[in-house]
Amino acid sequence: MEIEYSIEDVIEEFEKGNSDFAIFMFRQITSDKKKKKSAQFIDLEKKLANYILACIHEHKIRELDRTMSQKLIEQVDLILEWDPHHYQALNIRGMLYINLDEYERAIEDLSLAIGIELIEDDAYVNRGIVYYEMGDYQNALCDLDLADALSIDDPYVLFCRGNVYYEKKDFLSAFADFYLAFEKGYSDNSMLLKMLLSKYRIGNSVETYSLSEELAATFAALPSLSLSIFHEIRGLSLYDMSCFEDALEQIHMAIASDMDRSSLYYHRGMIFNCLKRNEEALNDFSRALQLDKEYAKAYFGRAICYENKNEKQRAFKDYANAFFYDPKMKKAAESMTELSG
Amino acid sequence: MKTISHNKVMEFKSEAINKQPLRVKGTMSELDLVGYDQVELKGMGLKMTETAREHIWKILRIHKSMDKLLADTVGEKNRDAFINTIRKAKVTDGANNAKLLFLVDHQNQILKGVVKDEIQLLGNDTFFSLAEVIIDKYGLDVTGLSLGDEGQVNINAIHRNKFWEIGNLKDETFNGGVSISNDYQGGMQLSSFLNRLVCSNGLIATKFSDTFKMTKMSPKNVHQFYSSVKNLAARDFKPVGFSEKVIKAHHTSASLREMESASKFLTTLSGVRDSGLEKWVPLLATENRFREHGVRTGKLSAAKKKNARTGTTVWELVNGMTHFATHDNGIHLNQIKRDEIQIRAGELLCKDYDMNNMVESPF
Repeated sequence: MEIEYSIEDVIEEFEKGNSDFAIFMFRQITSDKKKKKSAQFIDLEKKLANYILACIHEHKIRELDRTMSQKLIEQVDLILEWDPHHYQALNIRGMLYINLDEYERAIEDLSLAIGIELIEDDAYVNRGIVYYEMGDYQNALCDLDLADALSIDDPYVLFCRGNVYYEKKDFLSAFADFYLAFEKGYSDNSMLLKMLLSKYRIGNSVETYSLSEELAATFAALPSLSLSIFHEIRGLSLYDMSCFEDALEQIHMAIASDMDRSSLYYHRGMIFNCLKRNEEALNDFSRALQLDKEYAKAYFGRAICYENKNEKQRAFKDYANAFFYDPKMKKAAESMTELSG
Repeated sequence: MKTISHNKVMEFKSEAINKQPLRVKGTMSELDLVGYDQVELKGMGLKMTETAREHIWKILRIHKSMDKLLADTVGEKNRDAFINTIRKAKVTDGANNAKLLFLVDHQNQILKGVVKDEIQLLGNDTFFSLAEVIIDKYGLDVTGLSLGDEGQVNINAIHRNKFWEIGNLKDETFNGGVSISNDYQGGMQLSSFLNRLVCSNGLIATKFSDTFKMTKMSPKNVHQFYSSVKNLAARDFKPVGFSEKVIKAHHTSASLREMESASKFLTTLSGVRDSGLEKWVPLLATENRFREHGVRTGKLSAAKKKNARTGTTVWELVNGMTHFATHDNGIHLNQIKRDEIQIRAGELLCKDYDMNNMVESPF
């Protein structure tokens, strides 16, 4: 004999956390077409949908792993079965697809959601994120501009758009968005670092350094990896300002927080070079190359050290490696020509 | 095909660097021809090799036959004096006094060659640096090293972990790699090096489009050289069009002329006569078959030999040559000669086969 379940049974199982069984029961109920059409049933379905969405919202959707995302997609599917135009469900499923790297499906859902609610910013933001992940920065910017217009300086939207500008290497716009988001209270660590890096890449080392001073308190609580980046940027700013001793101190601190990042040894090698400490520079470039065998700049730096020591053959080989790994490094090729003459 | 140990490669490298000739810049006016094989360069007495003399004669535009004619008619001493007079006359004209590079074996006081200064010779130290960048980057195994009398050097290296097959041909699985050479005439040259796994035969393919020659060190040339290597590596060191060539060679009979040419080449390099080469190039067996058929191959013109189909495919001929070059067959062959045979085999593979132009006739 077949057991008959009610919507209340389904909700009860959901509340117990037995979502798989709840879905099974719900499917049993919906197979009865007569029941499905009743007003009472439709009302209960809505309750169930709201309940599922509320449960999903409790999670930080963007931080869910693949298994959880997959599981939640099944629940959202349930809602979309009885209401294919459910804005929230489409928006959430789109976000869940992002977690699964299924960008085409995500765009499909989010575009449907946008078609349903043209003036809601959520789906625009999410679709902008998908385009960003796909490297389609032009479309990402279109969506995020619209989301920004609809939400009016929502810091999360600014953060997302800042990321797009950052990837496009439009550091001026990236910095503007990050800074506005920061002023509005958004303080994601990765954003703060990118904000500082954007400032540095705009080419104003003095302002970068003073910004780093402003952020120093925030950064005190950073995990060691991020702290290392923070000190690195400060060190680089000081290096650009020709304050080599202070720059060296910052890079020392950066290395103390992260001993396995090749770029730090490269930067310290460059500083040692400026301080005419050739052997220490050479050691640092070699260390950078131990960590990253294809680090063209480090080969170039070490080649200069070898030239300083009049070890021309070794210098030539390092220039040759530098040019191999970075064909844009014309200087390395020119040095090769000079040394081989 | 064995990998040569790192230590052996390093020993070879230092030998190649030490053996390379000194590059002395100068002009023809600074060279005095003292005797047939004696010169004075910037006041320094040197012996001269046959190659160096050929170079000088070429620069002075004296034909080889004229050299012999003079020696026969006026005697060697007068010939030398006459040629030196021509040299002096030519260098007084500025246009004939171009900058030259004299290649001098400073240890033995020998002039080994003369080339135009516009050819920027790559030293073996430079050559090794560039080769090492490639070998290190792609983790290649060095399987062959050769050093010539005039300091010319060649390295064969393969990528053991990457292999590929040719269509659905049985036993045709290959490793690819590079063959990099340096000499004062051809500059630095990059070619594909191929290792046929079933028999470990090596082949140097200089005629595929991936080949690159660098006679002058410049950013543009180095960039092109690296690009060629990167493109080759991206295809797992399989030259463009290689499969098609092998398949075609597999299905095309060699002509008698091609077979004779291969046999003659092996004889010249190894000193082994026809019968000793049968295992690799079955020329005698082929000629016997023709004889049995009533055709005396010795009487055929070169053009007819081109049209005489043998029972050996081009691919079998190529493999015969590469097998001869790669393995120790009890025949003394130095690595330079082995490389030359592997290059010739590669050329045979890439040429337009004689039997390619045969037409099926309806009559």
